[in-house]
Amino acid sequence: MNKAATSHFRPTGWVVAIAALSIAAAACPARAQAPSLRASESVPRDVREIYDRGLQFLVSTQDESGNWKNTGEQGPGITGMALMVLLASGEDPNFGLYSNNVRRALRSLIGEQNAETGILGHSMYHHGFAMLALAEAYGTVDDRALWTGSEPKRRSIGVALELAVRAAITSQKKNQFGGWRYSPDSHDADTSVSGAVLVGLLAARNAGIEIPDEAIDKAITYYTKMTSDAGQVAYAGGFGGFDESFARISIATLVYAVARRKDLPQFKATLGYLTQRLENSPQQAYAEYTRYYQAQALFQGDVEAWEKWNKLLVRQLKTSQLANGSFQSQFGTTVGTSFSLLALALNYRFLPIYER
Amino acid sequence: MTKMRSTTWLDAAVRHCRAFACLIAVCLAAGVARAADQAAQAAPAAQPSGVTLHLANGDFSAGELVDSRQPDAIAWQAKGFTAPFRFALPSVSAVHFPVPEPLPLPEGEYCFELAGGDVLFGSLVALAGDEAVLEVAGLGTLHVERATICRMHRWKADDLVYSGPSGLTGWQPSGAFRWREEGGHLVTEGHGMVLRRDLGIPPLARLDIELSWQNKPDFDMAFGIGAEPKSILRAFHIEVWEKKLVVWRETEREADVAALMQVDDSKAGRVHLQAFLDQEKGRMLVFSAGGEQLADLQVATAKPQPAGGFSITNKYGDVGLERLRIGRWNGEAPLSVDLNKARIHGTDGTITYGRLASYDPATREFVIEEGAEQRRVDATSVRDVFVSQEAAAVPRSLRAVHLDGRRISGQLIKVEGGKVWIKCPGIREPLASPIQTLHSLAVMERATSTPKLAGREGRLEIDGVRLRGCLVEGHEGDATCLVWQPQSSAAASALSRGVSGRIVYRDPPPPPAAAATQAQQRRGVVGRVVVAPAAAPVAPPAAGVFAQIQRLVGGAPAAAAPQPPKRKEQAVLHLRSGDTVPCTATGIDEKGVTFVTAITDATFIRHEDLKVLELMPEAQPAKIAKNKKERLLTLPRMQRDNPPLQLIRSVDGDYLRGRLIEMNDKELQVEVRLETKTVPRESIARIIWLHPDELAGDAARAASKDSAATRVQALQGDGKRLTFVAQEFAGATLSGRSELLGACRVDVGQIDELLIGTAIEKSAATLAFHQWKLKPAAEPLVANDGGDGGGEGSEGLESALVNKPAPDFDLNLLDEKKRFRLSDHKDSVVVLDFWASWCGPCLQVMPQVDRVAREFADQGVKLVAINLEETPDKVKAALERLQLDMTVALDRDGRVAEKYGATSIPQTVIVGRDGKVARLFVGGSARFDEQLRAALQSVLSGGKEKEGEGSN
Repeated sequence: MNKAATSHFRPTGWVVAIAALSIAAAACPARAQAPSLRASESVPRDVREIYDRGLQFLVSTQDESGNWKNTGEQGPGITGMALMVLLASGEDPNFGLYSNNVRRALRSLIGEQNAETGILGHSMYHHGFAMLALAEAYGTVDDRALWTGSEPKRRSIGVALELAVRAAITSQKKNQFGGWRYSPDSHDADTSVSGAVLVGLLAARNAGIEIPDEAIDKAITYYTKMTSDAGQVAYAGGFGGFDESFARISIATLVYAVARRKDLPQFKATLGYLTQRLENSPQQAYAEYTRYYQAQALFQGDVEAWEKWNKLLVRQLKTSQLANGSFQSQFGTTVGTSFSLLALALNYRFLPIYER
Repeated sequence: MTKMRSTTWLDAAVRHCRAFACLIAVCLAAGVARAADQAAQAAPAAQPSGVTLHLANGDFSAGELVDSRQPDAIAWQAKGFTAPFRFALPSVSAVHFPVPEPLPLPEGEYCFELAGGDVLFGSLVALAGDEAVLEVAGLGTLHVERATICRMHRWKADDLVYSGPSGLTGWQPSGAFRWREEGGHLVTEGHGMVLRRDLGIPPLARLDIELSWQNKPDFDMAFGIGAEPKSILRAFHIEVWEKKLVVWRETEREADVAALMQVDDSKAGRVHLQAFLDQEKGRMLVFSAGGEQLADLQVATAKPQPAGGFSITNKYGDVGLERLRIGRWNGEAPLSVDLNKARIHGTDGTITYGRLASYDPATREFVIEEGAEQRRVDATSVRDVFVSQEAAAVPRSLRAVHLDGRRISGQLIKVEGGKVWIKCPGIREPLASPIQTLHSLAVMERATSTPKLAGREGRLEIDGVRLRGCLVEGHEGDATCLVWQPQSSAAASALSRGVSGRIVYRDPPPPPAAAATQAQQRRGVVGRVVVAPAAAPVAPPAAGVFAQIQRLVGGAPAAAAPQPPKRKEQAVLHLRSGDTVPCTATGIDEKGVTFVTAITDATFIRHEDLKVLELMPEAQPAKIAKNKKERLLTLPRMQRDNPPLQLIRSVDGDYLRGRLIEMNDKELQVEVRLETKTVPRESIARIIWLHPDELAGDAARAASKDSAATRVQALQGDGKRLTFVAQEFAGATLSGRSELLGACRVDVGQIDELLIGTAIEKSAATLAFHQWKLKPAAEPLVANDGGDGGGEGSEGLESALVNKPAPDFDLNLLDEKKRFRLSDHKDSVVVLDFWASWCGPCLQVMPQVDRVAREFADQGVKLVAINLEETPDKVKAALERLQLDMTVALDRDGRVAEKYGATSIPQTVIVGRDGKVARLFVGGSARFDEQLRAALQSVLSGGKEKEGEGSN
């Protein structure tokens, strides 16, 4: 991902350590696939064991306010990712085992939204991931049970999502490239932050929130400009040079697919790049981030390739999962665990964004 | 005259050999230490490491001396053992101590040469009657019988030129891997192996040489060789000719040889010689260690070319160079005077014969009597005083050679408190030498018989130790159950925990000349390379692993195989330890292999312990081409994190690389590059496991083994191996437990070898099947470089364009309508920097290039950055971002880059004032500025020189 970023590319003040967060989009809102479709028998035992152990870790480390504050990077983006792990588990979000955890996470997430700007968190990474989580929860989680009546910032999931969408579009309008960067007011863009926000927007659109076509088109055009014929995807401003970042190549594949632009030659190039290198392992530094996108990109792009790749993923996660069920990453265990489990969650397909 | 080595000639030559006895000449054998500024430093209390005991039977042991009050034994704590051994003194050859640099200097004005070859340094306190009183540093005041003193002389401290060896450092070996160090000694069994070194042998040199061998002496030493290879032909040689040790020299006109002694070429032995070499006169005198003259060889040349080099060659035997001391020699032949008379040599060369009556310490004068006449001689004008003739030989059991050249011999009293106590004949006081001042202890008695061992004799070999002996009863406890009783030791000791080594009972036969696979060795048949696809359904010829996979999986292997074996064979499991288990394999799952075997109740073994499963040991042998095998065993970079874990060989000889998922009695499932394939079991001949830890080297696995348990591996004559954890040795049986096989018992009378500890893995790694292991594909250079590009360390002279005329060009500049033509700038040194805005390394390098070019601007250096095929807008944006203001030429169609061979960028070219390419760098790095600066400095100075030449 933004390995190439150097300080003069970054807007001052907004630069954040979390250089890597985001999620995908592509399904109808409010209706995840029915639990009956959850072919638990067909999900390999290894997958179930890894997921359940990781889920227990997240459930046990969520604090009373609904946050995950004790294990590294924190903020609404992180809360949103962990929330998606809960939603992707297949347990009923309103009455099931983790319904309290889901509501707590949502209340925390909405509580951190800036009521005026609609921005979630201190960077557009957070905003993108949190927006995606809201989109996934929208229509699935019953608002009526969300607020107990005493909280200061009561807002429904739908309102929060709409606010977030408007904030993202406003930020995009200020951007010469049609993308996003760490700060909502940045003129610069990069394909990593833009992926987080764009996937969130696409998920919101799938959930029924109105998104101007122009916004999506501009962002997709930005990605096509950043994609080389060979399928590599540049990092920032057309200036970082092309190199082999499986995270960025996966992000581009995913946004083309979820934006229903599989007709683009750039989609074929990025997807081809991935499917020809299924055994390549992600860069050590951003392994979890890369796997998270690679899983969705392959799943959306070429499900047979995903099936093969998924075997490798399961093997790798099986060996890297710690005894307490968590996964480490340079952004902390909440991030590492959430990314790893969401990469695995394609095996369940409960999240709307995972629908093909 | 050619060199003649016929027996007749040799015998004739031997007659020339004059054998006089002269002990005096040998007295200085230990030499005097090198002139060094500092005297002996206070020695540490602990015994130095690197102490080695040598036994008369050729065995050796690293370790240390321990206290003992027995005068007839040496108590020795061997390395790797829990308790000391007690070796009978006559069974010991020597104890060698490490030689420090620089050597300590002796103290005292006089060197006293005593009977028996002993040497002391000190001052003369008194001499009267039958006794002399000496003051010797470290030993105190000694009362020495006059008859014991042969000679006193005032020594020169710079006598010693070299003393060693202490390891291979400084030596030039041929085939370095065949020489090794054993306690500083240089040892080889490799035939034809040579070691040479310029040791600064002076034209007049005194040499002290000790050599040993384990099986057969067949060596050649040359003294006084120069830099050019031919000089070895003219040097003096000491060489083994058949069963004789001879000294010889051959020049263009003359040759001679003299026999020194017989050597037994059927067993271990050693030799200790003194030699005096006069390179000017072409003379070499050789004496035995005991002082007997063995030869005086004179082969002179018209033009002597003294040289300082020495070489040793092991011809067809084995040899260890243990000691080599080189000192200056005054050129005086040791036997040239009348030995039988007492005399005084003055510093002016005069000789005064006469009996030395006394020494007057008050006046520092010697008193000499000749008949009734008495004369006094001032001590300061004396060089040598020959006091007495050799006293009657008194048997001595031990000689202690000290680092400062002191040598004392006598009867061992004890070893105590870090000192060796010796009673020296003729000296009243017992002498106590601190161990850290010792160079060596040499035993002078020899055992007449070897005591009989209680058990089967073997040769125990651990690091630094080789001791013949036998195992005696032992049980696991604090120490291991492997208790070793060396020959001629009164005590046995258990091996320490964690020690690795082996006991050899029968040496293996020499390896066959040609390397062959295990299968070939067994059957002596060479198989086909790959199936000829005559009947195969797939048309394209086999090319690479993929084609093989297709034929194995998708094709009809049974049809392609000419004679697939039908009958059900018994399978053989080869474990990573080297053990083999004949069995019927019932299945494979993700954990390991299940099987049934008659030899144990065990039915399962884990993948990580397996190396090969031969499902059809009798299948057609298959020869695989070397390059094909290499390709099969090379792990591509993109599979680094998903390496194949098995190689599956079909009965046809095809190989499939993948990850075994499952095998039942009908088929085998294997994941090949993330796809699952099914292979009929009957077409599989063999499965070879490729372990990821093999990529990291065998040492990694060996290190991971539990060192607390006494792991042993019994090796039978037929190559079968049995690995287990030993628990007890009793009678002739070693018993223990194997995780796989349960209780194990081995009769040591029946085995060839017993491997101990990590030696098991090291030995297994040499087995034929174990050569099948993955190795990672080479990393691209750019990755090795940390992504910095290839420019690091380059001087920019490698390109073929260097020194060729720089291709001229004419390009638009970014700066509006201006143009740049290279040929217009012949008065300048021009730096061309090829770049593009999408090239990260270019952007890293450009500011450096710009900065360095500016430093040289006043010397006529111009920089032109040549952009490759980008629009002016992009170029401007990039320059803005980099905040650079430089001359940029636009190579819109890439023609100029092509002319300069810029297939990868950044490429930086320096064009000299002569219009030629002076330097060309490809790639950049964080320190490219330094390279460029150095290159410009060099180009600019070169240009000036040329201008200077031109104006002359």
